[in-house]
Amino acid sequence: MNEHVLQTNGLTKKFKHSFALDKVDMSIRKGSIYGFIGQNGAGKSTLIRIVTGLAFPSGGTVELFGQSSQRELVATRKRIGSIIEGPALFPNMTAVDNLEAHRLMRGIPGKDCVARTLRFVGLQDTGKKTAKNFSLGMKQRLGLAIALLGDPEFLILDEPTNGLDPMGVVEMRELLKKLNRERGITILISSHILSELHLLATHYGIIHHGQLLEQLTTKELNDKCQQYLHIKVNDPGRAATVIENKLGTTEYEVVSSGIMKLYKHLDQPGKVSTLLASEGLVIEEFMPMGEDLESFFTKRIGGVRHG
Amino acid sequence: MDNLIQSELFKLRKNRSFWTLIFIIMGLAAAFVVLSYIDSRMDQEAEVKGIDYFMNTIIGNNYMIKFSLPILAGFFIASEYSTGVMKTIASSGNSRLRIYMAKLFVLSFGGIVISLVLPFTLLTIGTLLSGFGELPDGSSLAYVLRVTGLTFLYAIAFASIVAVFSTIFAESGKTIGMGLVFFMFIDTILFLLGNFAPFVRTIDDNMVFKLSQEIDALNMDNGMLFKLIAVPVITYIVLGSLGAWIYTKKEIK
Repeated sequence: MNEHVLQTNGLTKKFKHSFALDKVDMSIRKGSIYGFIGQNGAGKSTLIRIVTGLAFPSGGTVELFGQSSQRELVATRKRIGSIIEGPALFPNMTAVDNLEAHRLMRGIPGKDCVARTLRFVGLQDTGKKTAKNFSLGMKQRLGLAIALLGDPEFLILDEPTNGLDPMGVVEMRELLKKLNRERGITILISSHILSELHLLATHYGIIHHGQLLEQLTTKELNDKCQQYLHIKVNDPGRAATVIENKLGTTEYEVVSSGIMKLYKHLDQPGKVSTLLASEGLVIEEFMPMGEDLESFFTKRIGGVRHG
Repeated sequence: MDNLIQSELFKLRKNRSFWTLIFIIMGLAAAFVVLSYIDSRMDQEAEVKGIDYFMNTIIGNNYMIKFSLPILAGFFIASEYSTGVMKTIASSGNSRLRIYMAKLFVLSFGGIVISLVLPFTLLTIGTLLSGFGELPDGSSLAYVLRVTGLTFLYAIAFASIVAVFSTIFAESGKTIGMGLVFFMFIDTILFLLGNFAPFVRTIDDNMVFKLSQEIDALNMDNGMLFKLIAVPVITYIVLGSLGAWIYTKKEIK
Protein backbone atom coordinates (compact mmCIF):
# COMPACT_ATOMS: atom_id res chain seq x y z
CA MET A 1 0.00 0.00 0.00
CA ASN A 2 1.31 3.41 -0.96
CA GLU A 3 1.77 5.54 2.13
CA HIS A 4 2.14 8.71 0.13
CA VAL A 5 -0.78 10.79 -0.99
CA LEU A 6 1.34 12.98 -3.22
CA GLN A 7 4.74 12.46 -4.76
CA THR A 8 6.43 14.60 -7.36
CA ASN A 9 9.53 13.47 -9.16
CA GLY A 10 11.75 16.03 -10.86
CA LEU A 11 8.74 18.30 -11.29
CA THR A 12 9.75 21.26 -13.43
CA LYS A 13 7.90 24.25 -14.73
CA LYS A 14 9.80 26.49 -17.08
CA PHE A 15 8.70 29.85 -18.32
CA LYS A 16 10.54 31.67 -21.09
CA HIS A 17 13.64 32.63 -19.18
CA SER A 18 13.15 31.22 -15.72
CA PHE A 19 12.16 28.16 -13.76
CA ALA A 20 9.07 28.43 -11.58
CA LEU A 21 9.81 24.89 -10.40
CA ASP A 22 13.16 23.20 -10.77
CA LYS A 23 13.23 19.42 -10.38
CA VAL A 24 11.05 19.31 -7.30
CA ASP A 25 10.86 15.97 -5.47
CA MET A 26 8.13 16.33 -2.90
CA SER A 27 6.36 13.67 -0.94
CA ILE A 28 3.44 13.97 1.41
CA ARG A 29 2.61 11.08 3.69
CA LYS A 30 -0.93 9.98 4.30
CA GLY A 31 -2.44 11.56 7.41
CA SER A 32 0.09 14.37 7.66
CA ILE A 33 -0.40 18.12 7.67
CA TYR A 34 2.23 19.41 5.30
CA GLY A 35 3.19 23.06 5.75
CA PHE A 36 4.45 24.43 2.45
CA ILE A 37 6.69 27.41 3.03
CA GLY A 38 8.15 29.87 0.58
CA GLN A 39 8.30 33.52 -0.33
CA ASN A 40 5.97 35.08 -2.89
CA GLY A 41 6.97 33.73 -6.28
CA ALA A 42 8.95 30.84 -4.79
CA GLY A 43 6.82 28.31 -6.66
CA LYS A 44 4.24 27.22 -4.07
CA SER A 45 1.18 28.14 -6.09
CA THR A 46 2.72 26.81 -9.31
CA LEU A 47 3.23 23.41 -7.70
CA ILE A 48 -0.27 23.42 -6.24
CA ARG A 49 -1.73 24.42 -9.62
CA ILE A 50 0.09 21.57 -11.34
CA VAL A 51 -1.02 19.04 -8.73
CA THR A 52 -4.64 20.16 -9.08
CA GLY A 53 -4.48 20.07 -12.88
CA LEU A 54 -4.76 23.80 -13.51
CA ALA A 55 -1.27 24.08 -15.02
CA PHE A 56 0.92 21.65 -16.88
CA PRO A 57 4.50 20.70 -15.99
CA SER A 58 7.40 21.22 -18.38
CA GLY A 59 9.04 18.08 -16.98
CA GLY A 60 8.83 15.50 -14.22
CA THR A 61 5.86 13.60 -12.89
CA VAL A 62 3.08 13.94 -10.36
CA GLU A 63 1.80 10.92 -8.51
CA LEU A 64 -1.48 11.17 -6.60
CA PHE A 65 -2.56 8.22 -4.49
CA GLY A 66 -0.06 6.14 -6.45
CA GLN A 67 -1.51 7.10 -9.84
CA SER A 68 0.52 9.03 -12.39
CA SER A 69 -0.99 8.65 -15.88
CA GLN A 70 -2.94 11.64 -17.14
CA ARG A 71 -6.26 9.81 -17.24
CA GLU A 72 -5.78 8.38 -13.74
CA LEU A 73 -4.69 11.74 -12.37
CA VAL A 74 -7.89 13.39 -13.59
CA ALA A 75 -10.01 10.71 -11.94
CA THR A 76 -7.92 10.77 -8.76
CA ARG A 77 -8.58 14.48 -8.31
CA LYS A 78 -12.11 13.54 -7.27
CA ARG A 79 -10.47 12.53 -3.97
CA ILE A 80 -9.04 16.01 -3.49
CA GLY A 81 -10.61 19.18 -2.14
CA SER A 82 -8.88 22.48 -2.67
CA ILE A 83 -8.85 26.20 -2.07
CA ILE A 84 -6.42 27.82 -4.46
CA GLU A 85 -5.57 31.50 -4.02
CA GLY A 86 -8.80 32.29 -2.20
CA PRO A 87 -12.24 30.72 -1.96
CA ALA A 88 -14.00 30.15 -5.30
CA LEU A 89 -17.61 31.19 -4.86
CA PHE A 90 -20.59 32.18 -6.95
CA PRO A 91 -21.10 35.66 -5.52
CA ASN A 92 -24.81 35.89 -6.33
CA MET A 93 -25.70 32.55 -4.81
CA THR A 94 -26.47 31.64 -1.21
CA ALA A 95 -24.22 29.27 0.72
CA VAL A 96 -26.64 26.40 0.05
CA ASP A 97 -26.78 27.13 -3.69
CA ASN A 98 -22.99 27.43 -3.87
CA LEU A 99 -22.64 23.99 -2.38
CA GLU A 100 -25.46 22.57 -4.46
CA ALA A 101 -23.78 23.74 -7.70
CA HIS A 102 -20.55 22.06 -6.63
CA ARG A 103 -22.34 18.95 -5.41
CA LEU A 104 -23.99 18.51 -8.80
CA MET A 105 -20.71 19.16 -10.59
CA ARG A 106 -18.92 16.50 -8.58
CA GLY A 107 -21.79 14.08 -9.01
CA ILE A 108 -22.24 13.56 -5.27
CA PRO A 109 -25.52 11.77 -4.64
CA GLY A 110 -27.96 13.02 -1.99
CA LYS A 111 -28.56 16.59 -0.97
CA ASP A 112 -28.02 15.96 2.73
CA CYS A 113 -24.28 16.45 2.44
CA VAL A 114 -24.88 20.16 1.73
CA ALA A 115 -26.54 20.84 5.08
CA ARG A 116 -24.08 18.56 6.89
CA THR A 117 -21.05 20.34 5.44
CA LEU A 118 -22.47 23.79 6.14
CA ARG A 119 -23.09 22.74 9.74
CA PHE A 120 -19.52 21.52 10.02
CA VAL A 121 -18.10 24.91 9.03
CA GLY A 122 -20.71 26.82 11.03
CA LEU A 123 -22.58 28.39 8.11
CA GLN A 124 -25.90 26.63 8.54
CA ASP A 125 -27.80 29.81 9.43
CA THR A 126 -26.87 32.12 6.55
CA GLY A 127 -30.31 31.81 4.94
CA LYS A 128 -30.85 33.88 1.80
CA LYS A 129 -27.72 35.96 2.26
CA THR A 130 -25.62 35.76 -0.91
CA ALA A 131 -21.92 34.96 -0.81
CA LYS A 132 -20.92 38.44 -1.98
CA ASN A 133 -22.35 39.80 1.28
CA PHE A 134 -20.38 37.38 3.46
CA SER A 135 -17.49 38.53 5.62
CA LEU A 136 -14.04 37.37 4.56
CA GLY A 137 -14.04 34.74 7.31
CA MET A 138 -17.41 33.41 6.16
CA LYS A 139 -16.17 33.30 2.58
CA GLN A 140 -13.13 31.31 3.64
CA ARG A 141 -15.33 28.89 5.57
CA LEU A 142 -17.66 28.53 2.60
CA GLY A 143 -14.61 27.88 0.42
CA LEU A 144 -13.56 25.19 2.87
CA ALA A 145 -17.07 23.73 2.84
CA ILE A 146 -16.89 23.47 -0.96
CA ALA A 147 -13.49 21.80 -0.68
CA LEU A 148 -14.91 19.34 1.87
CA LEU A 149 -17.88 18.26 -0.24
CA GLY A 150 -17.63 14.62 -1.13
CA ASP A 151 -15.40 13.84 1.86
CA PRO A 152 -11.99 14.31 0.20
CA GLU A 153 -9.00 12.35 1.46
CA PHE A 154 -6.57 15.11 0.60
CA LEU A 155 -7.08 18.84 1.15
CA ILE A 156 -4.95 21.38 -0.68
CA LEU A 157 -5.18 24.83 0.83
CA ASP A 158 -3.27 27.72 -0.67
CA GLU A 159 -3.18 30.59 1.81
CA PRO A 160 -6.47 29.67 3.51
CA THR A 161 -5.98 32.22 6.29
CA ASN A 162 -5.45 35.18 3.96
CA GLY A 163 -7.31 38.20 5.27
CA LEU A 164 -8.71 36.45 8.31
CA ASP A 165 -8.77 38.24 11.67
CA PRO A 166 -6.92 36.60 14.58
CA MET A 167 -10.03 34.75 15.76
CA GLY A 168 -10.67 33.57 12.22
CA VAL A 169 -7.13 32.24 11.99
CA VAL A 170 -7.56 30.30 15.23
CA GLU A 171 -10.95 28.94 14.09
CA MET A 172 -9.49 27.81 10.78
CA ARG A 173 -6.58 26.12 12.56
CA GLU A 174 -8.89 24.25 14.91
CA LEU A 175 -11.12 23.24 12.01
CA LEU A 176 -8.19 21.83 10.06
CA LYS A 177 -6.82 20.00 13.10
CA LYS A 178 -10.25 18.47 13.64
CA LEU A 179 -10.44 17.34 10.01
CA ASN A 180 -7.02 15.76 10.24
CA ARG A 181 -7.68 14.13 13.59
CA GLU A 182 -11.26 12.95 13.13
CA ARG A 183 -11.42 12.19 9.44
CA GLY A 184 -7.78 11.41 8.81
CA ILE A 185 -7.63 13.93 5.97
CA THR A 186 -4.15 14.66 4.67
CA ILE A 187 -3.61 18.41 4.31
CA LEU A 188 -1.20 20.41 2.19
CA ILE A 189 -1.28 23.99 3.40
CA SER A 190 0.71 26.98 2.28
CA SER A 191 0.75 30.08 4.43
CA HIS A 192 2.76 33.18 5.04
CA ILE A 193 1.93 33.10 8.72
CA LEU A 194 4.73 30.79 9.77
CA SER A 195 3.98 30.98 13.47
CA GLU A 196 0.49 29.76 12.67
CA LEU A 197 1.82 27.01 10.46
CA HIS A 198 4.13 25.93 13.25
CA LEU A 199 1.10 25.27 15.46
CA LEU A 200 -0.57 23.14 12.82
CA ALA A 201 1.83 21.26 10.56
CA THR A 202 3.37 17.88 11.18
CA HIS A 203 5.68 18.09 8.19
CA TYR A 204 7.29 20.98 6.33
CA GLY A 205 8.61 21.67 2.87
CA ILE A 206 10.67 24.75 2.15
CA ILE A 207 10.71 26.03 -1.40
CA HIS A 208 12.88 28.83 -2.71
CA HIS A 209 13.34 30.05 -6.27
CA GLY A 210 11.52 26.97 -7.54
CA GLN A 211 13.72 24.50 -5.66
CA LEU A 212 12.54 22.40 -2.76
CA LEU A 213 15.34 23.08 -0.30
CA GLU A 214 14.24 20.79 2.47
CA GLN A 215 11.48 18.54 3.75
CA LEU A 216 11.33 17.74 7.43
CA THR A 217 9.06 16.65 10.24
CA THR A 218 8.18 18.82 13.21
CA LYS A 219 10.62 16.83 15.34
CA GLU A 220 13.42 17.31 12.84
CA LEU A 221 12.56 20.99 12.66
CA ASN A 222 12.68 21.35 16.42
CA ASP A 223 16.03 19.56 16.47
CA LYS A 224 17.36 21.84 13.78
CA CYS A 225 16.00 25.06 15.18
CA GLN A 226 19.17 26.46 16.59
CA GLN A 227 19.43 27.52 20.22
CA TYR A 228 21.07 30.85 20.99
CA LEU A 229 21.69 33.41 23.66
CA HIS A 230 19.43 36.40 23.27
CA ILE A 231 21.42 39.46 24.36
CA LYS A 232 20.29 43.07 24.40
CA VAL A 233 23.05 45.56 25.12
CA ASN A 234 23.47 49.32 24.95
CA ASP A 235 26.24 49.12 22.32
CA PRO A 236 25.93 46.08 20.03
CA GLY A 237 28.87 47.17 17.87
CA ARG A 238 31.29 47.06 20.79
CA ALA A 239 29.68 43.87 22.07
CA ALA A 240 30.34 42.28 18.67
CA THR A 241 34.02 43.24 18.89
CA VAL A 242 34.24 41.78 22.40
CA ILE A 243 32.59 38.54 21.32
CA GLU A 244 34.89 38.16 18.33
CA ASN A 245 38.10 39.09 20.18
CA LYS A 246 37.51 37.64 23.62
CA LEU A 247 35.28 34.64 22.83
CA GLY A 248 36.86 33.98 19.45
CA THR A 249 33.65 33.34 17.53
CA THR A 250 31.80 34.93 14.65
CA GLU A 251 28.72 32.75 15.18
CA TYR A 252 26.43 35.60 16.11
CA GLU A 253 24.12 38.11 14.48
CA VAL A 254 22.76 41.53 15.31
CA VAL A 255 19.06 41.50 14.49
CA SER A 256 17.52 44.79 15.59
CA SER A 257 17.78 47.65 18.06
CA GLY A 258 20.66 46.26 20.08
CA ILE A 259 19.49 42.64 20.10
CA MET A 260 22.14 40.04 19.34
CA LYS A 261 21.87 36.31 18.85
CA LEU A 262 24.94 34.35 19.96
CA TYR A 263 24.99 30.78 18.70
CA LYS A 264 28.10 29.63 20.60
CA HIS A 265 28.97 29.35 24.31
CA LEU A 266 25.40 28.33 25.09
CA ASP A 267 26.65 26.30 28.03
CA GLN A 268 28.56 29.26 29.45
CA PRO A 269 26.00 32.06 29.84
CA GLY A 270 27.67 33.26 33.03
CA LYS A 271 31.02 33.63 31.31
CA VAL A 272 29.46 35.60 28.45
CA SER A 273 27.48 37.99 30.64
CA THR A 274 30.45 38.56 32.98
CA LEU A 275 32.69 39.30 30.04
CA LEU A 276 30.28 41.80 28.50
CA ALA A 277 29.72 43.51 31.84
CA SER A 278 33.45 43.65 32.54
CA GLU A 279 33.86 45.52 29.24
CA GLY A 280 31.49 48.22 30.53
CA LEU A 281 28.50 47.14 28.45
CA VAL A 282 25.02 47.50 29.94
CA ILE A 283 23.11 44.24 29.55
CA GLU A 284 19.38 44.92 29.28
CA GLU A 285 18.21 41.44 28.32
CA PHE A 286 20.02 38.08 28.52
CA MET A 287 18.38 34.70 28.09
CA PRO A 288 18.73 31.39 26.23
CA MET A 289 16.21 31.02 23.39
CA GLY A 290 15.42 28.74 20.47
CA GLU A 291 14.77 29.66 16.87
CA ASP A 292 11.22 29.54 15.63
CA LEU A 293 10.05 28.39 12.22
CA GLU A 294 10.36 31.91 10.86
CA SER A 295 14.02 32.22 11.80
CA PHE A 296 14.75 28.73 10.55
CA PHE A 297 13.07 29.51 7.24
CA THR A 298 14.86 32.85 6.86
CA LYS A 299 18.19 31.23 7.50
CA ARG A 300 17.42 28.25 5.26
CA ILE A 301 16.68 30.43 2.26
CA GLY A 302 19.91 32.31 2.79
CA GLY A 303 19.11 35.05 5.29
CA VAL A 304 22.07 37.08 6.62
CA ARG A 305 23.80 35.50 9.56
CA HIS A 306 26.16 38.28 10.61
CA GLY A 307 25.10 41.69 11.72
CA MET B 1 -21.24 14.10 -18.11
CA ASP B 2 -24.78 14.21 -16.72
CA ASN B 3 -23.56 15.70 -13.46
CA LEU B 4 -21.74 18.52 -15.25
CA ILE B 5 -24.76 19.39 -17.39
CA GLN B 6 -26.99 19.31 -14.31
CA SER B 7 -24.61 21.63 -12.53
CA GLU B 8 -24.45 24.02 -15.49
CA LEU B 9 -28.23 24.02 -15.81
CA PHE B 10 -28.51 24.79 -12.11
CA LYS B 11 -26.12 27.71 -12.55
CA LEU B 12 -27.98 28.95 -15.63
CA ARG B 13 -31.22 28.86 -13.68
CA LYS B 14 -29.59 30.98 -10.98
CA ASN B 15 -27.88 33.32 -13.45
CA ARG B 16 -29.24 36.84 -13.18
CA SER B 17 -28.03 38.02 -16.58
CA PHE B 18 -29.91 35.16 -18.24
CA TRP B 19 -33.20 36.13 -16.64
CA THR B 20 -32.56 39.84 -17.11
CA LEU B 21 -32.02 39.31 -20.83
CA ILE B 22 -35.20 37.25 -21.10
CA PHE B 23 -37.33 39.77 -19.23
CA ILE B 24 -35.92 42.76 -21.12
CA ILE B 25 -36.55 41.12 -24.52
CA MET B 26 -39.97 39.94 -23.41
CA GLY B 27 -40.90 43.37 -22.06
CA LEU B 28 -39.77 45.17 -25.21
CA ALA B 29 -41.60 42.70 -27.44
CA ALA B 30 -44.81 42.95 -25.41
CA ALA B 31 -44.65 46.75 -25.38
CA PHE B 32 -44.08 46.79 -29.13
CA VAL B 33 -47.11 44.61 -29.90
CA VAL B 34 -49.41 46.42 -27.50
CA LEU B 35 -48.39 49.85 -28.79
CA SER B 36 -48.77 48.68 -32.41
CA TYR B 37 -52.19 47.29 -31.58
CA ILE B 38 -53.32 50.54 -29.93
CA ASP B 39 -51.91 52.52 -32.85
CA SER B 40 -53.69 50.42 -35.47
CA ARG B 41 -56.97 50.67 -33.54
CA MET B 42 -56.69 54.44 -33.24
CA ASP B 43 -55.84 54.84 -36.93
CA GLN B 44 -58.44 52.23 -37.86
CA GLU B 45 -55.85 50.34 -39.89
CA ALA B 46 -55.78 46.60 -40.44
CA GLU B 47 -54.40 44.86 -37.39
CA VAL B 48 -51.10 43.02 -37.66
CA LYS B 49 -51.64 39.33 -36.96
CA GLY B 50 -49.50 37.13 -34.73
CA ILE B 51 -47.87 35.26 -37.60
CA ASP B 52 -46.98 38.56 -39.32
CA TYR B 53 -45.14 39.74 -36.23
CA PHE B 54 -43.38 36.39 -36.12
CA MET B 55 -42.31 36.52 -39.78
CA ASN B 56 -41.17 40.10 -39.68
CA THR B 57 -39.04 39.63 -36.62
CA ILE B 58 -36.97 36.58 -37.55
CA ILE B 59 -34.07 38.51 -39.05
CA GLY B 60 -34.18 41.14 -36.31
CA ASN B 61 -34.17 38.28 -33.82
CA ASN B 62 -30.81 37.18 -35.22
CA TYR B 63 -29.29 40.42 -34.03
CA MET B 64 -30.98 39.97 -30.66
CA ILE B 65 -29.36 36.53 -30.39
CA LYS B 66 -25.96 37.81 -31.53
CA PHE B 67 -25.97 40.63 -28.99
CA SER B 68 -27.43 38.60 -26.12
CA LEU B 69 -25.10 35.62 -26.38
CA PRO B 70 -21.84 37.49 -25.66
CA ILE B 71 -23.51 38.97 -22.57
CA LEU B 72 -24.69 35.55 -21.44
CA ALA B 73 -21.32 33.92 -22.19
CA GLY B 74 -19.54 36.74 -20.37
CA PHE B 75 -21.55 36.36 -17.19
CA PHE B 76 -22.17 32.63 -17.40
CA ILE B 77 -18.77 31.26 -18.46
CA ALA B 78 -16.05 33.92 -18.47
CA SER B 79 -16.96 35.30 -15.03
CA GLU B 80 -16.04 31.91 -13.56
CA TYR B 81 -12.40 32.67 -14.30
CA SER B 82 -12.44 35.90 -12.30
CA THR B 83 -14.38 34.43 -9.35
CA GLY B 84 -11.97 31.49 -9.26
CA VAL B 85 -14.77 28.97 -9.68
CA MET B 86 -13.18 27.73 -12.90
CA LYS B 87 -10.23 26.52 -10.82
CA THR B 88 -12.51 24.43 -8.63
CA ILE B 89 -14.30 23.04 -11.68
CA ALA B 90 -11.10 22.22 -13.58
CA SER B 91 -9.61 20.48 -10.54
CA SER B 92 -12.79 18.56 -9.68
CA GLY B 93 -11.79 15.28 -11.27
CA ASN B 94 -13.78 15.81 -14.47
CA SER B 95 -11.97 15.87 -17.81
CA ARG B 96 -11.48 19.25 -19.42
CA LEU B 97 -13.24 18.06 -22.57
CA ARG B 98 -16.36 17.10 -20.66
CA ILE B 99 -16.33 20.32 -18.68
CA TYR B 100 -16.15 22.40 -21.84
CA MET B 101 -18.81 20.41 -23.66
CA ALA B 102 -21.18 20.70 -20.69
CA LYS B 103 -20.68 24.45 -20.64
CA LEU B 104 -21.19 24.70 -24.39
CA PHE B 105 -24.35 22.59 -24.32
CA VAL B 106 -25.91 24.65 -21.56
CA LEU B 107 -24.83 27.95 -23.12
CA SER B 108 -26.43 26.70 -26.36
CA PHE B 109 -29.58 25.83 -24.44
CA GLY B 110 -29.56 29.35 -22.98
CA GLY B 111 -29.10 30.71 -26.52
CA ILE B 112 -32.05 28.65 -27.74
CA VAL B 113 -34.27 29.95 -24.95
CA ILE B 114 -33.25 33.55 -25.68
CA SER B 115 -33.77 33.01 -29.40
CA LEU B 116 -37.37 32.04 -28.75
CA VAL B 117 -38.32 34.92 -26.51
CA LEU B 118 -38.73 37.68 -29.09
CA PRO B 119 -40.58 35.82 -31.89
CA PHE B 120 -42.79 33.84 -29.55
CA THR B 121 -43.68 36.78 -27.34
CA LEU B 122 -44.67 38.68 -30.49
CA LEU B 123 -46.52 35.67 -31.88
CA THR B 124 -48.36 34.96 -28.64
CA ILE B 125 -49.39 38.51 -27.75
CA GLY B 126 -50.09 39.37 -31.40
CA THR B 127 -52.32 36.28 -31.66
CA LEU B 128 -54.12 37.11 -28.41
CA LEU B 129 -54.83 40.65 -29.57
CA SER B 130 -55.40 40.25 -33.29
CA GLY B 131 -55.50 36.55 -34.09
CA PHE B 132 -52.94 34.16 -35.51
CA GLY B 133 -53.39 35.09 -39.19
CA GLU B 134 -52.32 33.03 -42.14
CA LEU B 135 -49.59 32.95 -44.74
CA PRO B 136 -50.40 33.09 -48.47
CA ASP B 137 -49.62 29.47 -49.16
CA GLY B 138 -51.56 28.31 -46.12
CA SER B 139 -48.66 26.44 -44.55
CA SER B 140 -48.25 28.51 -41.38
CA LEU B 141 -47.48 25.76 -38.93
CA ALA B 142 -44.86 24.18 -41.16
CA TYR B 143 -43.29 27.57 -41.68
CA VAL B 144 -43.22 28.36 -37.96
CA LEU B 145 -41.67 24.99 -37.21
CA ARG B 146 -39.02 25.34 -39.93
CA VAL B 147 -38.05 28.86 -38.96
CA THR B 148 -37.99 27.91 -35.28
CA GLY B 149 -35.77 24.92 -35.99
CA LEU B 150 -33.39 27.02 -38.06
CA THR B 151 -33.36 29.73 -35.37
CA PHE B 152 -32.29 27.05 -32.87
CA LEU B 153 -29.46 25.95 -35.14
CA TYR B 154 -28.13 29.45 -35.70
CA ALA B 155 -28.44 30.25 -32.00
CA ILE B 156 -26.26 27.28 -31.08
CA ALA B 157 -23.79 28.10 -33.87
CA PHE B 158 -23.41 31.63 -32.47
CA ALA B 159 -23.14 30.14 -28.96
CA SER B 160 -20.20 28.00 -30.09
CA ILE B 161 -18.46 31.17 -31.33
CA VAL B 162 -18.91 33.14 -28.10
CA ALA B 163 -17.92 30.09 -26.05
CA VAL B 164 -14.54 30.20 -27.81
CA PHE B 165 -14.28 33.93 -27.01
CA SER B 166 -15.02 33.31 -23.35
CA THR B 167 -12.34 30.61 -23.21
CA ILE B 168 -9.71 32.77 -24.88
CA PHE B 169 -10.39 35.98 -22.98
CA ALA B 170 -11.34 34.36 -19.65
CA GLU B 171 -12.89 37.61 -18.48
CA SER B 172 -16.49 38.72 -18.72
CA GLY B 173 -15.80 42.30 -19.87
CA LYS B 174 -13.48 41.27 -22.68
CA THR B 175 -15.78 38.44 -23.76
CA ILE B 176 -18.79 40.73 -23.95
CA GLY B 177 -16.90 43.55 -25.63
CA MET B 178 -15.12 41.41 -28.19
CA GLY B 179 -18.24 39.35 -28.85
CA LEU B 180 -20.36 42.41 -29.53
CA VAL B 181 -17.71 44.02 -31.73
CA PHE B 182 -17.22 40.77 -33.62
CA PHE B 183 -20.90 40.28 -34.40
CA MET B 184 -21.36 43.96 -35.16
CA PHE B 185 -18.63 44.14 -37.77
CA ILE B 186 -18.08 40.63 -39.13
CA ASP B 187 -20.71 41.01 -41.88
CA THR B 188 -19.27 44.34 -43.02
CA ILE B 189 -15.68 43.10 -42.91
CA LEU B 190 -16.47 39.96 -44.92
CA PHE B 191 -18.49 42.02 -47.40
CA LEU B 192 -15.67 44.52 -47.91
CA LEU B 193 -13.04 41.81 -48.21
CA GLY B 194 -15.29 39.99 -50.67
CA ASN B 195 -15.08 42.98 -53.00
CA PHE B 196 -11.34 42.47 -53.31
CA ALA B 197 -11.06 38.70 -53.07
CA PRO B 198 -13.81 36.60 -54.70
CA PHE B 199 -13.01 33.55 -52.56
CA VAL B 200 -13.88 35.57 -49.44
CA ARG B 201 -17.25 36.33 -51.03
CA THR B 202 -17.77 32.60 -51.57
CA ILE B 203 -16.81 31.89 -47.96
CA ASP B 204 -19.08 34.68 -46.72
CA ASP B 205 -21.98 33.29 -48.74
CA ASN B 206 -21.58 29.99 -46.96
CA MET B 207 -21.06 31.14 -43.40
CA VAL B 208 -23.58 31.39 -40.58
CA PHE B 209 -23.42 35.18 -40.51
CA LYS B 210 -24.97 35.64 -43.95
CA LEU B 211 -27.07 32.49 -44.05
CA SER B 212 -28.76 33.46 -40.79
CA GLN B 213 -30.40 36.29 -42.73
CA GLU B 214 -32.04 33.86 -45.11
CA ILE B 215 -33.84 31.57 -42.70
CA ASP B 216 -37.14 33.46 -42.95
CA ALA B 217 -37.67 32.77 -46.67
CA LEU B 218 -41.21 31.62 -47.35
CA ASN B 219 -40.25 29.28 -50.14
CA MET B 220 -37.05 27.36 -50.14
CA ASP B 221 -35.82 24.40 -52.18
CA ASN B 222 -34.33 21.31 -50.57
CA GLY B 223 -30.78 22.29 -51.50
CA MET B 224 -31.08 25.60 -49.75
CA LEU B 225 -32.74 24.02 -46.72
CA PHE B 226 -29.92 21.47 -46.52
CA LYS B 227 -27.34 24.26 -46.69
CA LEU B 228 -29.17 26.27 -44.02
CA ILE B 229 -29.12 23.23 -41.75
CA ALA B 230 -25.63 21.91 -42.54
CA VAL B 231 -23.68 25.15 -42.13
CA PRO B 232 -24.66 25.92 -38.52
CA VAL B 233 -24.25 22.25 -37.57
CA ILE B 234 -20.74 22.18 -39.07
CA THR B 235 -19.97 25.53 -37.43
CA TYR B 236 -21.09 24.13 -34.08
CA ILE B 237 -18.94 21.02 -34.44
CA VAL B 238 -15.85 22.90 -35.66
CA LEU B 239 -16.05 25.78 -33.18
CA GLY B 240 -17.05 23.41 -30.37
CA SER B 241 -13.99 21.27 -31.09
CA LEU B 242 -11.76 24.33 -31.35
CA GLY B 243 -13.04 25.72 -28.04
CA ALA B 244 -12.61 22.34 -26.35
CA TRP B 245 -9.06 22.06 -27.68
CA ILE B 246 -8.18 25.55 -26.42
CA TYR B 247 -9.72 24.78 -23.03
CA THR B 248 -7.83 21.50 -22.63
CA LYS B 249 -4.55 23.29 -23.37
CA LYS B 250 -5.29 26.33 -21.26
CA GLU B 251 -3.57 26.99 -17.96
CA ILE B 252 -6.21 28.28 -15.61
CA LYS B 253 -5.10 31.20 -13.50
